[in-house]
Amino acid sequence: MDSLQLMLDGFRLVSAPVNLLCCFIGVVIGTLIGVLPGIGPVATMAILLPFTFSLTPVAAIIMLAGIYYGAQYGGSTTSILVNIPGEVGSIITCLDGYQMGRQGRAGSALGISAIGSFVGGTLGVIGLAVLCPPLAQVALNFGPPELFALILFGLMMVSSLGGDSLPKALLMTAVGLFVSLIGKETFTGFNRFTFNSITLSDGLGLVPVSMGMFGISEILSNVEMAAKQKVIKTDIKSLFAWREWIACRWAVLRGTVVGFFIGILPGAGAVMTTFFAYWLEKRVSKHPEKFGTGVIEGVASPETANNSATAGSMIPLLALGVPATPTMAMLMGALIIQGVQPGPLFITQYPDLFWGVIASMYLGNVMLLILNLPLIGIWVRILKIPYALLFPLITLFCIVGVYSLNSNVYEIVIMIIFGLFGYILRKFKYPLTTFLLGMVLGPMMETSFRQSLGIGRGNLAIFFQRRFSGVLLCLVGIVLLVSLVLSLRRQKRKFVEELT
Amino acid sequence: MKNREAGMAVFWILLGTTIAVWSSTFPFGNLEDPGPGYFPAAMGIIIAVIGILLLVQSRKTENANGGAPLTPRASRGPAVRRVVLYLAAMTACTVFLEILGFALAMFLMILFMMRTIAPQRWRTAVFYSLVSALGSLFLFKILLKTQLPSGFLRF
Repeated sequence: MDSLQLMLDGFRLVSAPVNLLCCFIGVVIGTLIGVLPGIGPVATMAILLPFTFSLTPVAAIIMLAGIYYGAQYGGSTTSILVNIPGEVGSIITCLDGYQMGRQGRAGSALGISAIGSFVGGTLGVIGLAVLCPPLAQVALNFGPPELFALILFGLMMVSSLGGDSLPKALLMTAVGLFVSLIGKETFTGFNRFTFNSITLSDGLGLVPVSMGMFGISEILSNVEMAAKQKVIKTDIKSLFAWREWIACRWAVLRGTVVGFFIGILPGAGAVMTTFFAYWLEKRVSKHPEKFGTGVIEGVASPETANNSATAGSMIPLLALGVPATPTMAMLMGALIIQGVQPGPLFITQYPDLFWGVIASMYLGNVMLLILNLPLIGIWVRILKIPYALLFPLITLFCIVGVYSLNSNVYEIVIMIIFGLFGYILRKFKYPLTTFLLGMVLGPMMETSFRQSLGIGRGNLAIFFQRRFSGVLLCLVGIVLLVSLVLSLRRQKRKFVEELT
Repeated sequence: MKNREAGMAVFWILLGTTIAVWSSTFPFGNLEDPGPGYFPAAMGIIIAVIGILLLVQSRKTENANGGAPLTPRASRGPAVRRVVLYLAAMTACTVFLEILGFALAMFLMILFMMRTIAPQRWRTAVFYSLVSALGSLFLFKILLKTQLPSGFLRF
């Protein structure tokens, strides 16, 4: 009953014109960047972060969350029409979505992906509202050792699932943690790695670093490729293929459940969620051999799953204070900048913010459904904007965003340096996502580690004396071992293939 | 070095070692009350150790493909030129941002990018750069009251 009342309060909060407008702007920008290949939600959130500083925390988070789930809606458009996923969560949609487009059934594919996204998004938010508060209640008993173990577990999961190479993912996590340590240390005020620079003594800001690593490096990669895309000419008028929609209702429901629960796992991300949803759909299908040739269930299930996962991935952040994905790490950074610390106390300390965000996600999903079905024609036209016109404008936004933080040109220099760094890392296939998570969680990890040692009077066994942290650290060991074995096997197979 | 992956691994080893050595100059404290040098030293060691692991892996790959360089195909010729020009444009814009002012610096940066990186006709490039620079000036400086440099033109 209490939750219902709080939810109603959330809706009341969201219905304030400013919050409604922010939700609308967020989902429109999200859909737009989802449609446009070459710019993802993490980069967009990084670019727009400085512009949210003047907003209230509720409005800022509503807008940024809107970008996140809006991008999942928009990502399918390019997969279906261009065979280029607008978003990583839409990679698998290319398989059947593009084939449907080539067969003149693009309208049907776009329609089911919008409906599936709506169902997945809405049911996922209900799951979030139900699961988050009790989980946060449990997490209230956590002390520094549990928090440290939880962060380590999250980082390890993301690293082990986040890329082809485990050592590279772990290395990027460590580099991210190191970057977060630059500047004045919180316990004693000691300056670390600052070269006596005032800019560096404040620490490397999340905005310039993430804008560089994700925004500028993405532009550099695209500028290098000078890629051009062709939009297929197909029928996008027949959006309402009711018979097909009804036929894949179970695929939508399966996608919702799979997306939500896999989305909760740290590091699972949209790719794994959608691939698993697709795999499951193929397994239960009566005609698995037809998958990849334009089967509507092959679009419905993953497109539902990636939206349901957005709600699931918010649970670790809002209930435990540990982001499960890089996008959630950006959202966490935004909350911290706004003076709000996500974690077990988040729901009790900021009930208006929590329920406001949940209510905004319901409304946002309705907005997206309205935006996506009738406006598909406009999104298709936007797809035709040449990248040559887009990248100078994105660069301009990056410069304004970073400069407006502290009116400090050195922060633009930091952005350029990290842009180049990110570009090089992309070339060598280092996962940037684990870097970002390391950078966001670094200060919290160091603090909880040092506090834990203080509590345990210097005895490292403190981490195993507490049941929860002990179990988590054992899991960390198991995850590391399994990932290492799998990674070595992969390497061995690759090595043999190269030899033969 | 033929194998670029190995070069990258050496970079990580050097970075990790530098971090670890530098951290050892910070107060270390003890296990009961760890100082500011503790955590970064651990990070430095981890980076260096993984760097060594990557170096070993890259040597294996090098032996497998006969020491052929793993140079990405696109990173040559015009592609490298576009990347260098883009970085040069951004750097120059940053250096002259406060002298020229936001609008003029943005106009010149976009014009440069549109003429050199993704070549457009002069008329298109000038029009687009002008609209972008003035439009963003109006949006950010006048509407959103963002602090942006005015430069010698004072706008």
